[in-house]
Amino acid sequence: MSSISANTLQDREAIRVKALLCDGSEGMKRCFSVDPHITSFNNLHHLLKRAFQLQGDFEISYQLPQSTENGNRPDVFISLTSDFDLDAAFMSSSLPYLNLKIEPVVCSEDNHNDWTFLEATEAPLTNNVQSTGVSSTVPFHISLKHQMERTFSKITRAFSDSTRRGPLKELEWHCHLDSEGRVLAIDELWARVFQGGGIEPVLRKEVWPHLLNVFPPDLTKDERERHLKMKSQVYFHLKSKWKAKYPQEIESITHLIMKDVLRTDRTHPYFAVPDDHQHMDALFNILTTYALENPDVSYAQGMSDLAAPVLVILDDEAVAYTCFCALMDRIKGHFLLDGKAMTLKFDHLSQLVHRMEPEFFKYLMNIGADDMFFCYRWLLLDLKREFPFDDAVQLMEVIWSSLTSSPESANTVNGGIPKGNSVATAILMQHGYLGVDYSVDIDDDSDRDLEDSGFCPLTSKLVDQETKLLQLPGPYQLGGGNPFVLFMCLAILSLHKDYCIHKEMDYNTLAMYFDKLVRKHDLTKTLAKSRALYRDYLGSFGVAKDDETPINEESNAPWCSQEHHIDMPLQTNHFVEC
Amino acid sequence: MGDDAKSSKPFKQRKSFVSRRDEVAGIRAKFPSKIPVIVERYHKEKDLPLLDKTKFLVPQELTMSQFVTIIRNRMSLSSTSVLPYCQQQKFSKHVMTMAEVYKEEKDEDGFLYMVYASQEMFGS
Repeated sequence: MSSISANTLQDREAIRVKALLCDGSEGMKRCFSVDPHITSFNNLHHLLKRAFQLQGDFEISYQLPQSTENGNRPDVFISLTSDFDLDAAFMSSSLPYLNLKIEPVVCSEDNHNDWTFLEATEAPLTNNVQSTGVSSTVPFHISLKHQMERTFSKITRAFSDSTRRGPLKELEWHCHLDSEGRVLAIDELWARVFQGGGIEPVLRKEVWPHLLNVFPPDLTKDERERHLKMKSQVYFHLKSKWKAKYPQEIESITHLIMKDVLRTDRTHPYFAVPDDHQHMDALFNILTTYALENPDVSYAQGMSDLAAPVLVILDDEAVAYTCFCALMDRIKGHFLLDGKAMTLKFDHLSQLVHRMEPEFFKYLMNIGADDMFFCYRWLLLDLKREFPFDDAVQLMEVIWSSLTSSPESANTVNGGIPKGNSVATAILMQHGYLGVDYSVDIDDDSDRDLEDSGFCPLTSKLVDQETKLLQLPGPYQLGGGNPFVLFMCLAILSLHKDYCIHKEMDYNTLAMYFDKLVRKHDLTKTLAKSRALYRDYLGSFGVAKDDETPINEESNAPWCSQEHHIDMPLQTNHFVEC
Repeated sequence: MGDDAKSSKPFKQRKSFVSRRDEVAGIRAKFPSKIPVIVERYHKEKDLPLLDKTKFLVPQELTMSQFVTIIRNRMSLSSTSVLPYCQQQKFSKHVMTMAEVYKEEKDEDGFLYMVYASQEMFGS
């Protein structure tokens, strides 16, 4: 009997199905056909669910064939719950139709006794991440809000205690992508990069455009690819424009660029190639295109130093150009002829050394180096040339991830301000700055106040009056929105100060001493030192330190000590409040 | 149910698709604001203890990070990194709420499956 049925089934390519929904109403009907050889129980279940637009669960049963001998046998339905049942239904009951009955399930009462109920109150509060079962008097949604606002970074920390040190790992990066590749919680990510000191080399190619703010927010992976493609097309167009010109027309600038390209990072394997290699061409093309497209910036020595690592990491001329433009948007002030951005940085570094290393500053004053001009190369290139290539790349990541989101108006005040990651206030947030109202902070008046009082260069007269020390600019102003790089400079100075003072170097010797240290500084040491100094600086703006790692003894904030009689500046009061 | 949890077979293999599906439907109908989650130890994980419970009903507004912390507390592993992730190899997204994760990651049977392991298990 079964073999006969099987044979007939094999010949049939479609089974006609009549399904009836029995949900207490008048009964909806659907008719359709299925191929018995490829339809599984799950398929059928899906089909029915869609056909009747069922939300909850339902049971399926099929009608046994009417007995041929006894025509008045009542309808018999057998429940259909598996592929096995379905085969049986196809074989025994599918002529001329397979009749199905669909009954929505009303859930039974007591099948949840083996469930463990978690309560929202069991969720730890911000300040008590380790505790269990805190029953809080704070309503949950408030405590949640509180938590989200105050401690983005703590959440990260609770998650990845053991991975906080060391570069950002692939796993962590993928944690921050949603199913379509949108980047989530990017500020948390940059805080992580800052803390960990960079990102894993394999991730660089993918993450750098994000670090450089190349993409508009909330793009999916596909949209980002399209965005880059579009940018690349623009680049090729721009390049072909100047390639079509007579070489003599642009010779003055191409000559300058070529000279620098041929001596930029040639020891790195990527550039350890013949002069006419495509890598050298690519670097030359990027710089030339940028110079001709941005006549206000044009080309200046040092720009090749910034473009080279970008090209090495991205390894694609057009994409590297896009990223280089984004980088230049932040840093081009350094290369402008008006020199405003550099003057500001010299000023701030000078103030910083004055405050943090008063002894060394006195020495610098005595030899006439308190203008900090001997740090020119450091500030111009964000210290790129002070470290070996691979370390410099890592440092670039740390600096980019630390950028404060620079208020738009600061751009107009200071000119050529590095444009921060729109989200990179994370570093400040984790130091308690989250509640800061930017609109207050960037108030034009307060900026003017800063220019009036804080930004003027130190003179020896002022230094003598130790009771009237100048205030350091706030974290959103210091270094024109890129404060961390100044702390790196400060760290270098502070690591070498004893030797310099001991050797009684004069101005020239000092400048030469640091000049010779090109590409020789120790990144790990310097980073550790500068982080400690930066933390202290942020701490001096009234930020609670209770959740911070203990502070290095050697870096106790000297500018806060009694002898200096520092009053907290007015314009930073709103930092204190949060 | 302690026996269930201690047995080596994963939850999915202990019960048929239909009974799992029915169970979810039932519990979702009764507690629409709770997410049914199955938390099991990663099969290669040897160091972390087994949880005494497998099935959790989690408030949907909880974030992944809070949920993870609760699970970690229940294991008395306050400082060790435990990184649950979803069965489909997509990594957990700790700033998302459980409702959001559920929407994206739930299994065909309606459960949200997660495994836990020490950080090292996932390599670097």
